Amino acid sequence: MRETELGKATSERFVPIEVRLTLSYAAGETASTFFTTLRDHCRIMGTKCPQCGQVLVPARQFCPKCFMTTTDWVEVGPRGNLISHTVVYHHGPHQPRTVPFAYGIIRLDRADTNFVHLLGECEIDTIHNGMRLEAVFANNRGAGILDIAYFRPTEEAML
Amino acid sequence: MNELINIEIPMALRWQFGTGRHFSRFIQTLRNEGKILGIRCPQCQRVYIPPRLICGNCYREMAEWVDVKDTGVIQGYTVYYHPILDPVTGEPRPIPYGMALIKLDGADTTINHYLSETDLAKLRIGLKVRAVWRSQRRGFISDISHFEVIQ
Repeated sequence: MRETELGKATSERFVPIEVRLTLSYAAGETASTFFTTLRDHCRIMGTKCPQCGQVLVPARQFCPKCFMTTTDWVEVGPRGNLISHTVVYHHGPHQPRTVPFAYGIIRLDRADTNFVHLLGECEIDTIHNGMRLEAVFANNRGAGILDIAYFRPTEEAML
Repeated sequence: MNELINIEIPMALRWQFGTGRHFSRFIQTLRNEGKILGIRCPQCQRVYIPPRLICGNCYREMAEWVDVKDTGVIQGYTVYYHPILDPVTGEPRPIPYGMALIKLDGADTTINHYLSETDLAKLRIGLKVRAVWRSQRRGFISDISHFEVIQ
């Protein structure tokens, strides 16, 4: 249990337990480049399959259709179209935002795959599939997916 | 070679369990009085730590509360050099550390707890140990920091 939680540990009817997991995995060469480029240059990068030509985002080392090693890097976004979305109303301890908030499936410009991220700076009611979005980058970036803070509607989408 | 990174995924699992009548009294007494309570089976006379409702041998309901001391005897022990991840912190517990099955004086069951002694040559079954309590008690088994060997 964490120290802050320990004060509550003396409930006479319930014993609260908190186990902290510190998981970590090696991102590998391709994902490392994807995340460090996001961190250092605020650019979202995909990789292109040399056989079928599709641009994979986030960047992948090989094409899942052709099994070809991807070699060419392509900058995608930061704008794109909302393909689908969902609104989260149920609060969970691992959610990155307070409810209600929305997740979108986004097709970034020049990409051939969809990308899941948070939607922000928009009323939940106004979100609709097909709307134009743009990435808002976080001020403090640490080579993670939340270096993109969220996607917001572009000015043209707001008209 | 480009910079290679690790993706960190810190995560906390939180849950709680209902203590039930007997365990509730156990942790309240532990917290409020710094005392360890056991419970005795009316049939086989075994004293359980922590207390439970039903005797595992006789299936009799138990209701006789017994004070158990915070001293006891080592029934089994080991010294860790390859630590587990401490569930409290998510970090490996600093090595070496000792662990023992301890039969507290007045109880018939053992509890698993940490030992301050980490020299295997100095440990043996039958050694007397004493609980070292934390200054602030919260009604949890970790209110005992560890056990130390007494002569």
